[in-house]
Amino acid sequence: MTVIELTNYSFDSKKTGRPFQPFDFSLAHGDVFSISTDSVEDALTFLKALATLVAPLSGSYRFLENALSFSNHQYLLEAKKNIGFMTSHAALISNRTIRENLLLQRAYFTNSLSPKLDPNAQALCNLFALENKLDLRPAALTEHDYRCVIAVRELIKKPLVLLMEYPEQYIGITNLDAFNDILFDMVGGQVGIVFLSEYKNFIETFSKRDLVISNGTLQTVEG
Amino acid sequence: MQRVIGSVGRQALASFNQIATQVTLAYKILRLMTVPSKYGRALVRRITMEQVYFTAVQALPIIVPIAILIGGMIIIQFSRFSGQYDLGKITVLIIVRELGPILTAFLIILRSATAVTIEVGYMNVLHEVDTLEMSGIDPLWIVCVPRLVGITSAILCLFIVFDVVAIVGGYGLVWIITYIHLGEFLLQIANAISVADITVGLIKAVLFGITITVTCLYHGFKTQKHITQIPVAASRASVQCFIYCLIISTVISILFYL
Repeated sequence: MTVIELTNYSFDSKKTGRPFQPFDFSLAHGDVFSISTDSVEDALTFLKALATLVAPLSGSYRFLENALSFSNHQYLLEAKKNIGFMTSHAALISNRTIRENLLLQRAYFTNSLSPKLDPNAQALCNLFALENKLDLRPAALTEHDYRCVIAVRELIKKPLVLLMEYPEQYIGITNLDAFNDILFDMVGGQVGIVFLSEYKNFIETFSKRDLVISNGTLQTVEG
Repeated sequence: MQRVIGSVGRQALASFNQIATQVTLAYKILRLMTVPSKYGRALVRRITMEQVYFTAVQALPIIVPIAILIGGMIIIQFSRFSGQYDLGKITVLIIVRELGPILTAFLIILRSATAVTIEVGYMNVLHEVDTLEMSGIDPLWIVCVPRLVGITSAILCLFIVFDVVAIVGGYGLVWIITYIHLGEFLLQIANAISVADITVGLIKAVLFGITITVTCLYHGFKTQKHITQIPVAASRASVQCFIYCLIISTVISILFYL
């Protein structure tokens, strides 16, 4: 079963300043794509398009075989909720503490304001050495810790799809081995992953197929 | 000549477009309030309480002295002008009907409305609105509804506080120069004030609250790319709130009192 299916899809290319040539793309459960590109901005725009943060110029977007309508942001929330998004575009809510940021989605969907992290979230916080920073505001964090909090938040979402931009920089090389183990579990759990990386070892470890984004075109290459 | 007409036409269309967008935003928020989502109620309640605290409770130390000074000033002027005969009636006319709601709204615009524009502007520029959406959270429900409820109820409460403090505190400030006793003064006010005065005050306060919140949210959400757009948006929002409130106040006064 496909999680994401784009048909005849197109959006503006930052590199060429023109729309992308319409393309088809599908991501099934457990699929892993790495992106090769001559334009990081276009790759990020593609990740944002997969996250439904960019409205298409043409084509259709199906999430879990349901066609999405971009006419109202509320129609996209159900899909967005199931997409982990670890890119430079991701952020934390600045007037909330790290704990509140991590608990925000749970608080929203369970109508509970309990400040207790679940064991999985607690374990991830320990892994990324965040356990003593939970009551700080995002502005008090280093850039590395800030990105780690985003990573933890996206992982505890239990997404069906994980989109990543340079995970080696996001997580840091020192945490990458531990992060790889988490990713192996996720791929085994049928999570689809699309990532942009320059770290050869990471690409070779995870990539099953390659997406080539070049001059406003997108092609899939079997790995 | 054609250029001038073209420019005027474009500006008129842009203004119409902005007002239509603001009305749509107001409609969407009010609809969410009437058919609330089953999710996020605890969060919305907490953020609304925070908004009431920031807008109403924290504004009290500012609004109380201002109300006393303005009340005192008006009572001094009109006690001399009317020979203190109609002092209570004039106080109701000036403070309860007109100055109370509009001055409360101006204080809220200066203190809180600009803060809302800046906060939402930052959230937009720093991708925090996208972040909420990526968690499946509706920003209209979690950001807009608490601000609308918080600011509107804050204006309602502060308007009542302003009127009471301006009348009683103003009298207290100038009691030396008046020969009317407090009891007589309050009796004059009680005789002068009507249900319509209270209703008009409440209607104005609710409309000011909705207008101020929606205008500020609109300008905050319009700020998309650059952080330098935020002060411009805050300035535009406050000026527009000011003008809209004056227009609403005038229209309601005309409708009820002419």
